[in-house]
Amino acid sequence: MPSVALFSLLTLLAYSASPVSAEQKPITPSSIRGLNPALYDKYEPNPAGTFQCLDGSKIIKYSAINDDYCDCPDGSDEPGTSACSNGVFWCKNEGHIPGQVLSSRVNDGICDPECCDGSDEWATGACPDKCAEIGKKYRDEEEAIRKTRKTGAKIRGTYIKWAQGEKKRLETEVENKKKELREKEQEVERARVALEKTESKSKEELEKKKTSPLYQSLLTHRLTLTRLRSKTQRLQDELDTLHSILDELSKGYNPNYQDMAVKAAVVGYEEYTGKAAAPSEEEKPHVEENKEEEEEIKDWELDELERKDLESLLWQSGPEDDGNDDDEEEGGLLWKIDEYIPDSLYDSWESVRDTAIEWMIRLGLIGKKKASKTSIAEGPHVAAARDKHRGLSNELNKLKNAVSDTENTLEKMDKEYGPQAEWKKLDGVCVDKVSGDYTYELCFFGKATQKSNKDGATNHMGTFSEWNTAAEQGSFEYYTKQLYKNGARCWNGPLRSVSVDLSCGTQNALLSISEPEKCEYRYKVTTPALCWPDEQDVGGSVKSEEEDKIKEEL
Amino acid sequence: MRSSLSLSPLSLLVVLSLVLLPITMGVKEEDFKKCSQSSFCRRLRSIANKQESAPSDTFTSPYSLSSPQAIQDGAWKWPLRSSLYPEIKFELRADVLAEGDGIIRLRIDEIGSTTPFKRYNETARWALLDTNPPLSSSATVKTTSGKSVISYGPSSSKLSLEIQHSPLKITQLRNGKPEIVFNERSLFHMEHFRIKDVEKTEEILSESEQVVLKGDEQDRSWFEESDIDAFEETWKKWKDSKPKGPEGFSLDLTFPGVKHVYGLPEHASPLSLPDTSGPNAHYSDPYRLYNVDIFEYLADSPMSLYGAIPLLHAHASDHSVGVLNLVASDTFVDVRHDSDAVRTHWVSESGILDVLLLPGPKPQQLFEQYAVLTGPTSLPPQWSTAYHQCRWNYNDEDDVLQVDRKFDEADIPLDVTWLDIEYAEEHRYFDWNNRFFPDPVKMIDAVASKGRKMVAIIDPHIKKTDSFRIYSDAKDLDVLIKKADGNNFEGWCWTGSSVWVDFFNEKSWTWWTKMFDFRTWKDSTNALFIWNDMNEPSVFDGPEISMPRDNIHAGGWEHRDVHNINGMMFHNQTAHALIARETPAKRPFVLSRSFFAGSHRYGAIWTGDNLGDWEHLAGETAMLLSNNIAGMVFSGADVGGFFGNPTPELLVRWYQAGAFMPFFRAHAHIDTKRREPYLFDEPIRGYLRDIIRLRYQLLPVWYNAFHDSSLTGVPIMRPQYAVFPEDEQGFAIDDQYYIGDSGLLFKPVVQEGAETSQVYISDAQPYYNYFTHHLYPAHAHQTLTLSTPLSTFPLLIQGGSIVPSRQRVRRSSPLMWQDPFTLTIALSKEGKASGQLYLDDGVSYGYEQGEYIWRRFHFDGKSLTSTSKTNTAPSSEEKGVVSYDAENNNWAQAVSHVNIESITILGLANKPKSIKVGGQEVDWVYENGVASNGKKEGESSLLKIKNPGVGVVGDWEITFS
Repeated sequence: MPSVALFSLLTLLAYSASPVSAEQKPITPSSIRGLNPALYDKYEPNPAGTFQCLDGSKIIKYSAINDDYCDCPDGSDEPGTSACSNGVFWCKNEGHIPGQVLSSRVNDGICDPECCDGSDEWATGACPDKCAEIGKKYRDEEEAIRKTRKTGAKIRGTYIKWAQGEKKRLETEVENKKKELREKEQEVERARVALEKTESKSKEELEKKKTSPLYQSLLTHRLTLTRLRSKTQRLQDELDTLHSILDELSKGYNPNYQDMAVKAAVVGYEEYTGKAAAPSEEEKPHVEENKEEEEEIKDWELDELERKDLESLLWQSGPEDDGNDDDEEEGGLLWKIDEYIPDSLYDSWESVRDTAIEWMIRLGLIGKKKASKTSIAEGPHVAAARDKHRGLSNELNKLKNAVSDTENTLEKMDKEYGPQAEWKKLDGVCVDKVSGDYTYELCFFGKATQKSNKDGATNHMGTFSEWNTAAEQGSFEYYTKQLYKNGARCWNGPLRSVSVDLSCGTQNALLSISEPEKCEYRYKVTTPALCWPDEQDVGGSVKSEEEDKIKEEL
Repeated sequence: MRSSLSLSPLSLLVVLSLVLLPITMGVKEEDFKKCSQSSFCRRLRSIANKQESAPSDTFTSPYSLSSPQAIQDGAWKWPLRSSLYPEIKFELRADVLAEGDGIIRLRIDEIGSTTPFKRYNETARWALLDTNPPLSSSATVKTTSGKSVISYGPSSSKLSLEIQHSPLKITQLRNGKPEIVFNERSLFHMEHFRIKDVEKTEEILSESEQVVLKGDEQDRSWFEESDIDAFEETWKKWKDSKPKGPEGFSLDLTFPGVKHVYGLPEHASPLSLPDTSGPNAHYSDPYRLYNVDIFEYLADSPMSLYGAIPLLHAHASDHSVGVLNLVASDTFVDVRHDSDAVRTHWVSESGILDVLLLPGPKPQQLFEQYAVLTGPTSLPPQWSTAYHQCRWNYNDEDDVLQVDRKFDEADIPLDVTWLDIEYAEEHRYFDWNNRFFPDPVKMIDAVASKGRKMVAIIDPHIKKTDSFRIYSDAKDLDVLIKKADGNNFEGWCWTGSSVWVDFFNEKSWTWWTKMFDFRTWKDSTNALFIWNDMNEPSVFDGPEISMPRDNIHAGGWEHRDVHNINGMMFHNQTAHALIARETPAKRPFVLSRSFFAGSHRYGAIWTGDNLGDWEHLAGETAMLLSNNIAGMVFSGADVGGFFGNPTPELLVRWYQAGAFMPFFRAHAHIDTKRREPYLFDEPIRGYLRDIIRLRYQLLPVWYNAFHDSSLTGVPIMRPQYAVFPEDEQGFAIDDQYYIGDSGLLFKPVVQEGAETSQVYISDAQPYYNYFTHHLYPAHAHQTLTLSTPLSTFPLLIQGGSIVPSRQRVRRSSPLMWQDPFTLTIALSKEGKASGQLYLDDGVSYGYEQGEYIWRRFHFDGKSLTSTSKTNTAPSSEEKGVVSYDAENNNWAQAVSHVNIESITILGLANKPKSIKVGGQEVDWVYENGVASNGKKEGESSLLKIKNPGVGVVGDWEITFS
């Protein structure tokens, strides 16, 4: 308090001469200290010499205005003193814009920037008028901001223009694709008719070939293989889960905690995975890559084995008939259905099928003749016809997906990507910043990540989830905030998430990162997409100098 | 950090399964010893069991005295022998102190031991103001037929101490009535020093239960328990080498005619201590005094916590007495309520017996007597009684400044912003983490520009890194705590591998002071204050999360001897360092977690790592009341609860409770959601703002209370029994309390969804709702039911009180120093009231030179006067503040312009005709309502005087006709 004490002792005389009597009795509203001119008409003296509190709750003597005693519950009788807890002091701030401070700031000895003229410190005299200086600085800053916004708005204009072109392009694309789609549908229909014809012809021939013991044995092997693989997969999944839990633990645990058990677990895990034993940077990823390769080859081979069309092999090896009609084609139908499944759905189908087979075996369904009789045997002609049909069907589906994707994007361009679809340009654009031991990256509408500068380990911080839903969609406020949610879980904490505060700037840039709460991050990002033009600037033409800048930016 | 820990696959599995299991919260009780897990407590507590199970009158103390010898005026000694070990010599010494209305000091120690060992006898040195307080010259002793009787005390009260020689028994009597009896149950025992007998230990081991006696050894098992761990004790993975062998002592103290005992902080237990033994035992283990860092402590338990004050009050409607047992080693206390008395049994691991008997006869005198011994509270800087905002952690400079700004934007006052351990580079306290705090001085200056302060944490564990100057200095100076083998002790704490300074070593003192010198610690300013946490001390990998007991301190004392004082030594030295850093000196502010008898001289404490739940909120009041009656008045609890995320309702209730704690700080764990008051939506934010603002408005009341406590040691939070010592109905109440002598009666709401609260009223005076002016007419022993929705809580003004306040709340409390006062006068049923106002500059020691104002306000129905108040406290002479120039001292002149802007009188029976100051009518209004002298309940009459034109300095009179 030394400075406070000093000035107050200096100004004690003025203060102690009682502020009430020292002040001239106000005659006109403009002479009422701290009063906002917009309220002057409410403070006109009346013949009765009274004043009505602005909330209408009370009528007091006019002389009680600014008598350093709070009479009005709303504080309206003391605009110039600190007597009321809920009033405001209006500062003229000549040379700058007018401002106001809470009554509790009046004569507290602190120079508030809102009252650069120091008029709120009328008793302490603590604050000289600095409005000329502050006002100039303010205007300079305002001008800089305006310039930034103007430039930014022009860049934003190019985003909008680009988005308009993109929209047109997409619309055309949709139309073309739809046309293609109709043609493709007809093609598929033709292929289907041809396939049906071929199928009925080859059915009989195949029946004979399926009874060989070799074929039966193959089927059994395949089934065992499938079950083994599914078991391995389950174990692998469990192992992966445990690995990810421990990875998370070793990456995220706070070494400062006193928990020696956690420490021991982390050290043990690192030894187990060889991280601690082999700290060399290159070794670790290599090992993993090799492993992956090996596994991939195996998987591929196994896939091949499992998916091999045994019946078409029968066709290749020539007809053989030992006349045993009782032999079964376990699950044959289910295997055959593979052929009809579009590629895009194949993976999920596979697991459904495996489960189905397992259940059928358990229930004794497979192994009965009835089941085998429903199977469809076919020859090479059928296979060719089916391939054709399947290929065409897949193309059709891909087209359908493409159309719906594009339509989706077009729909988003009406809402999601800003009022003029200006944000579409930034879809997938990434900004990053190095902060401390990490590089933080944010890809608009995609993911936020945190990458360690030491070992390159990456943490997923969240995926784009929403704009500022507290504001109305389409309003400026709505686009000032983005939320990226459901990142990787923190040790002993929540899922990571990022709240992005956006503001207008001439560049797309990540300015700062903070973590106000554990694993809840806050990014400050600038982007031209948020530089909404001033009304006066709208329609202004882009000057060549700025154009260059914009081009650079783009 | 790479650790050398290895791990077996099995333990990895165990860890895995733990990770996958849901995490359970709560204290790990098994980390802390129960009595049965401690050799000395097993040995010594069992004496009580033997006494109880022995046929009546057959259990007689083996100890007896010979005739006394005078040592000097007021001091005598008696040779003391035990029939168990006739060859061992003990000595009893009794002193009568000159001050404090007849305080007796009893000391017992072994003398002439043939071993090289010595009992720790320096607890008094650290706990008492004066290690050897002056003795009475008027006390006399008479010895007749195996009995010595000392007569002493002021002439008004006839005190005597009857010392029965054989068997040993000491009784303190007032007017012939026994009030404290030492060794009534014959449980006194002092283990003598002996050299470890390996053979015998093995014998005990092999015989396990029955000790085979040989040759001349007599059977002592009727009294003394053998314990295989007497000479060496292993608990969990820690071995205690116990080089001095068994050296515990046991004593019993009986308080005849008493039904309530209070004290022994710090425990999360009721203020009136429930039984730990006997048929009505509420707890199965004794109250333990052994300072520990306890994680998520239980809300109702006799387990030891962070602090220890071995002070007990025994209270009945006709008398109060107290006992201060000056022992710093691990201590367990059993309490048992019998129909005729409360009986207590104290067992300690080491040290001499050094017990002070406080004669009372009322709680008020007990507080003063305790202050005579340990000194009164230090007057804290005034700003430290305002609101503190803390969190583990404010991450960087921007974060700190944003918190600062957000408080302003929300118009919520704030005085102190705190930084927890993460400000420090690698937890090397003093060293700022430059990445997050590149310019700490600039940041502190920015905060200080609004009259605010900052507090940064300095913990006692010191990172063991040669590049860290604090470590290398302390090592070079050889002031570190040592292991039993003489090497520096190393343990694990936030910093990783750490060492601890031995603040018992005087060499550390000047060095520590230098560490806070602005020339040494360049990244600090005079607006930065200190938080000493973890000073139990907390050692993560040590026994009971603390230090091995056979560690060595200065003078060769073992850690076991000084354990409970350790935290206070650190607190003390930090406080002194802050005093020394400026000339002229300013009052220090240091918050400590650990404390002992005497810590109140050095600063504040808080109740440690509580939980953000209703149960812990409810438990805080009793804990803080217990601290307050034991001198540790500057106490508070983490508002909101350290762990967990309180609901908005709980948070509001917690702020209401916190605003009425002497130390008012919100704090939260690093894993919690942020909960600064400005973060909430209305109406919660408004509630929080109003509560904090109310604290600021009532700061004059708090400062008055601190000032009173700094003179006489009276509590700030005053429980019912202390204010109304004759009203038995209030003796067990520990959920409401009075603030100093202000007449404000507060009760926190601690039940979820509570729409009403009940407040017990002891005296026959009207009480007024502080907020609504609702008057409850005078009626002794009544229980009031108040409507307490979330926006409000019970705050009553006792009739007869004048409450000073400052209604203009600024951003921070120092900015309010020139603002006018409001007086709220709540009339007694006789139509009278009085109150006080103490003011000084709030930061310097100018008040010791008489630079303050101290007013007494009195209303007698006809006039309201302000007169200067002088100190009449018994201890005032030493403080040299008996006389001061009430109007012309520097501070009085500095505030000569500060006015009383408003006076409200509640409960006047009639509207006055005229109210004048100096013959001039003042501006006033009167509203009809209920009068203080009537039987009607309802809104009280209200007289409001506007700007009477009287100041806080100088005498004045306002006349009513």
